[in-house]
Amino acid sequence: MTCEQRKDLVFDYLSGELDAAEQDALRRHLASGCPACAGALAEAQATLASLPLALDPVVPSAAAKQRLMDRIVTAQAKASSMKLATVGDDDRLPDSPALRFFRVLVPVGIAAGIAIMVTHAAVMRRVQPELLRAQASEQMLVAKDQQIKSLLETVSNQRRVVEMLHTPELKLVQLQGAEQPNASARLLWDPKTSKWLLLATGLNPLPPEKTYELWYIPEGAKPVRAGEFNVNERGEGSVMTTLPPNLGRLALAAVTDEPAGGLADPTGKIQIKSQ
Amino acid sequence: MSAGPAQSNRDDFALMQAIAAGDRAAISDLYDRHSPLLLAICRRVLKDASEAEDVLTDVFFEVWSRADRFNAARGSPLTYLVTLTRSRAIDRQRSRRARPVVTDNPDAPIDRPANSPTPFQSTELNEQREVIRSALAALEPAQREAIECSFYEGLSHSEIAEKLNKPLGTVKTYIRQGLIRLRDRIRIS
Repeated sequence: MTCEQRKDLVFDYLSGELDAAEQDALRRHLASGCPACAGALAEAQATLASLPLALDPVVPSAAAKQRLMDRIVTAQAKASSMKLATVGDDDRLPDSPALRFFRVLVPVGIAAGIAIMVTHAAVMRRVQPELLRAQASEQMLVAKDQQIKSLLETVSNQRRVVEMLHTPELKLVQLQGAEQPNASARLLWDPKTSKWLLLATGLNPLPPEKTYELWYIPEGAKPVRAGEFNVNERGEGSVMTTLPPNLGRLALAAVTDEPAGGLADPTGKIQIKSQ
Repeated sequence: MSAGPAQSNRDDFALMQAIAAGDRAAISDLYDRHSPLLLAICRRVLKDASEAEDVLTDVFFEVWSRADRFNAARGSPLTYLVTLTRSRAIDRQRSRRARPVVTDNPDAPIDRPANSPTPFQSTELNEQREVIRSALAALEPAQREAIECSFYEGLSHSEIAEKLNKPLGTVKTYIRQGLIRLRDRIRIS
């Protein structure tokens, strides 16, 4: 499955409508840090979160806020209260040098420990906002870095397309629908570099377990696989590939539907083909 | 009208960090800023004014006591609040039997908190509201109705299918396609 297909699937993922295998596969993919899918997930979450904005706001009563603040004050008081048990005179052990030393050492030790804890808590309260801010900033930087890498890859791909379009020897091969009469494609072919760029339109989106595969079929020889691709919801897809050398004269360029990952030899029906 | 304390200039992210540090003023500011929207969600799901305020209080107390759960890298504080509120409201709805709708007395004085957003500060929210309403209005009626049942009423897809007398698969498609269109319309707005 491509990230383009996952983009719309995230809504089903968020509402728990995927089956267990799909849910798990998407969760693992998201955990891999894919920036495109992370962005799609965030956008889907934002879309869902924006729905309540269509409602008319309702101002709560002042009593409701007071109940909240009272709960918070109570919770804070509970969290910060510490009771120390004291040892009464009647419980004192008989004096001995070791025990006298111990009687001094233990309270001093407890006091020192409390002082350390209080100081630590005070330091953490001052430092914690900065730590949280730094942590959040670091996570955002990692996500931004991945987005930048994805964008750079996209720009690089588009630059290759533009370079191809400037090739003086560029050939254009038109593919028309076979199994899918309304589909078509343009194949840009640079004979100098043996690069192919297929731009397809009107193809039906395939289920996750299938893919479209492009074939170079030489005269009198078996088809040579030239790349796999998927299409978006509008039926648009593309693939750029470099053909092996010495393939012989082209008889046919064709696209079939195959199992995801593609095959070495075509098994599916021809969806579009050159004339 | 008495003048309340100055409106907080801190953004939501800064407030969430302050809440994690135990700043009570921050949770108060966050409450004043977003409680009207969140209460609207609770009222719509629970259809009971008193229960809705209970859930609202629970939500903000959870935000206070579990401030570590908010992850800034995953989305905005408002997204987090809305998601949490809807989830808690639906939990309450499913654990208790829905009571009849409470009709508010239109003559009762409105008891406002001191830090209600001013009309000026609400402009951005009003604009967002219009974008969402416009996007919802542009959906096919069946998609809009299914989405409203799911997100405003808190109904499960099975319950929606029963209510609308449609197959379950059709309801799921309505909701998915409707959300995709909403996302695309909001994106270009």
